[in-house]
Amino acid sequence: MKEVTFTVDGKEITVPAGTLIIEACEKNGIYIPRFCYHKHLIPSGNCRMCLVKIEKNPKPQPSCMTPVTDGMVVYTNTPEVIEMRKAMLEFVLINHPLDCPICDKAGECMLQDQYMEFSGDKSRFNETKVAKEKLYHFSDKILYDAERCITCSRCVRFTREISKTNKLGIVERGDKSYIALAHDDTFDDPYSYCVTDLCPVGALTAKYFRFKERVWNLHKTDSICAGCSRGCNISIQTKDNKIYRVVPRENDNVNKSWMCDFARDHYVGPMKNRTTGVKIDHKETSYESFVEEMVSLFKEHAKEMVFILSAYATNEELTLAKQLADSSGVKAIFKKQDRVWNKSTGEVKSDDILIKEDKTPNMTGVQKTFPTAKDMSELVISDYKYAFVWGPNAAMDKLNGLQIISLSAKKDQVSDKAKWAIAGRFAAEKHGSFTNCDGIVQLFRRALKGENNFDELSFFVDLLKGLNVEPVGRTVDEVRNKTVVME
Amino acid sequence: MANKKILLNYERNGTSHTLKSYLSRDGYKTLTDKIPEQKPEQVLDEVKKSGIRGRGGAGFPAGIKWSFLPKESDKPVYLICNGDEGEPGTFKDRVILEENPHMLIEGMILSCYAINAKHAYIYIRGEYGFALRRVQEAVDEAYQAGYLGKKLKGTDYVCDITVHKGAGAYVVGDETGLMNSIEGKKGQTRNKPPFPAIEGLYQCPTIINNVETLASVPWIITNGGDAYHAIGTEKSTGTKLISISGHVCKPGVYEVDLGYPFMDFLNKDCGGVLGSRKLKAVIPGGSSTPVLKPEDCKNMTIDYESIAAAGSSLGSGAIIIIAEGTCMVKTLAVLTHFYHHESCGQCTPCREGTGWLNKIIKRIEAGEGKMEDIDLLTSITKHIAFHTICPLGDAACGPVDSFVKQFRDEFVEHIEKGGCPFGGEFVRFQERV
Repeated sequence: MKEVTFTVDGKEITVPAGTLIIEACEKNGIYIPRFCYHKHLIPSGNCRMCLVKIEKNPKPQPSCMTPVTDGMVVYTNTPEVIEMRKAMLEFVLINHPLDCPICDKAGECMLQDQYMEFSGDKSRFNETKVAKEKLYHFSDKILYDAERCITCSRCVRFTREISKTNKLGIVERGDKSYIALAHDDTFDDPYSYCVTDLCPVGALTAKYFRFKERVWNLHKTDSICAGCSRGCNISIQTKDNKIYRVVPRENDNVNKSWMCDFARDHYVGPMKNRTTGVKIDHKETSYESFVEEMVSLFKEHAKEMVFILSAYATNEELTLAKQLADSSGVKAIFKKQDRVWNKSTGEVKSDDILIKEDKTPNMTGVQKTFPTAKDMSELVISDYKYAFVWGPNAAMDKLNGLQIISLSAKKDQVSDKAKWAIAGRFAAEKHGSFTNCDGIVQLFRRALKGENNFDELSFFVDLLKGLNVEPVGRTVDEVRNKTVVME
Repeated sequence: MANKKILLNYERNGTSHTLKSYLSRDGYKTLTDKIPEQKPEQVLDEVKKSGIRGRGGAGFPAGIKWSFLPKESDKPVYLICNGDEGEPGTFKDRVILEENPHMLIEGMILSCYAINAKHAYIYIRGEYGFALRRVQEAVDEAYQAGYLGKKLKGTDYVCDITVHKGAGAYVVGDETGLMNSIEGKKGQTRNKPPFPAIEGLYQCPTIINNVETLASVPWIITNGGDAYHAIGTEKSTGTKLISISGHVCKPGVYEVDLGYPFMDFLNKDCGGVLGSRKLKAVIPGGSSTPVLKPEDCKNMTIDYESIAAAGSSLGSGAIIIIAEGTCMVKTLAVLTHFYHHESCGQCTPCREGTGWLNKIIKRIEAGEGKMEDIDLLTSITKHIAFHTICPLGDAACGPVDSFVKQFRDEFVEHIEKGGCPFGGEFVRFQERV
């Protein structure tokens, strides 16, 4: 690709031709303040916050609209530019309600942050502020406050360029303009929460998070969404072992800056239908005796056992499961869809944006670790006596007549009927890695503490030890370092 | 000095808008007689030679603008006639649209031929209902007579014109805003570059000119660019329609040769200041141009250079006469109210700043001003002007800066007295909701 060299604040920088000034500067450690510019949206150049001085150009130019050209000389820190930024912040703030103490955006608000960094001046505005609609219900998920809005048009461009629902537009003129839906419409968009992340101020807020918690009190954990095989990069934000909200993390190769509403709604709130503890014949028992019985089962009946894999399993767990199957001699290995699309939930089956039809996070990992695993529909039970069922949603009618061992975080028919049942953990409760639909291996960290002091990985480690096999590793990181190839 | 009649070459008897009347004035003769022997490049050359400058306000030479079109492009070229005459004080295009629409149509056909545009638009502001009907009728007549929609005599060239009605927004007078409006989008301007000649209407190369500019083209082609160049001054060629309003005895639209002395025009042609009052101020080119004091206008002639030398701009040729006894603060309050109301709200400085300016000025007029407000005004305009996407921001600042500069004592008087020294009761401008 052709490269161009330009000068910014006396520093020579070489970037690919066509790079915008704002991007070229950011890559080289010069942050130009902005509101309307967003990496994954087409620039609109309307907030005028990113104006810079370009030599030989009489007018300051928006750095988000101007591509770098060879020999261009840009200034981002002259007194003129600094004064300009202060003026733009003053303009934005004159009609802004300054209700930061009750605003959910406070703490991660671009207006707040950039005012602190680039201005800090006192207001010279002594007039009455423009009054606008404070509670505009876009949908049962999104609320809009027109007074806080700085009409940067990020949300509008999102619905036009990314989610392509074209739901939002700007109506009215001048300082009366605000974001609106068409008459009698609701903001019915499978990605609608993304506008709350995009909003640089607190104008668009997610109703589920309003007044719940100050953002600086939340503990943020980098994770991977387990809602479908896309593997969107997310940040799970918790306090006191409770998920308050989930927001996307930027990843140009996977989800850009977006994630779907369904997954967000799914993460927030108590986990339903979870399994608990360790049970044999429906009676609580100790973990140690459970492992003991399992070891003898694998020692004596491996040939009569069906092993059904979970597509919720992490790559590290799968590695140990593979070791277990190989060392004990389990031959009949099957895979299943742990979750399938259900129309009644309102979930989108699949689309061209992010949502995949495969609703499990790690089917690719299952296929890579167990290339010969057959689909569960091909299972013929007459050959077997035992079924080791990992994860939820195994077809019960396929398993009738078998003695079932269940390892699952989610309660279902199989875990209820199992002779041996051990609780697993949800993805948010463990470390590990998933391989997404495009074969990208992505790490995630534990956001919540699990209920039990064991999890899938430690269970497999203990089984292997019982079978006198040295596990590949005893912790997630040990296993990963030895086996999983990061891309 | 007799001014030449190029655009107002008809008797105002109520029939000048018809095809019959236009033909009786040798109308469409240029099309039928000149085009068969002239190549598009020759037409373009004549327009270049004439030196005619864009009559919309910016005064950019039209021929040079046309030559910015990309030479090799497989996209169609569009011509747009900008009839969104929105600048307060300007009503000159209206006269052409209502009384001489065929001259505009002929000019557009010639211009289309010169730049090889197959389709042209006439964009007329929504408030001009009557003009719109007249132009539509004229376009229909031109189609029936075969000037539009059929091959021009002696060529393979076919031209179509669509009349487009605006919905009423000042900012659509900007070329890219107008294009968005034709495309069915909100009337908001685009960031430049790309300029319209490269990427304009429907992302195609587009030339956009004012009504008056395009209506002058038939005369230029008939009589030659040199003949047009001979009228007016060296750098401001041709005639200009002037719409004069305010405290003047005979307001209206006049056609003058550029370079015509301003005081002669005011006192002889327009009958002087209304009620024999003294002249207090002149806004020479539409409300966005800086205001001038009488002493600046004494030796001023009506052309781009002379008015620029006096410290203002010819703009669209809309002269507003302000007589002694007028409160300049209140006048400015009216003007800033307009810009506040018309700000499209797209970019920050204009959206927030125009309202702020208006609020401060209204407060000063109401007698609640503070001394520091005067400097605050100029410090706000400093950050609106040239920091916005379109020139509306600059337009809103022109009057504020010049009023404060020229009539600062009046602002001080308002503040010291705690009210309007002209005794005028402050009228609160009702905001339209």
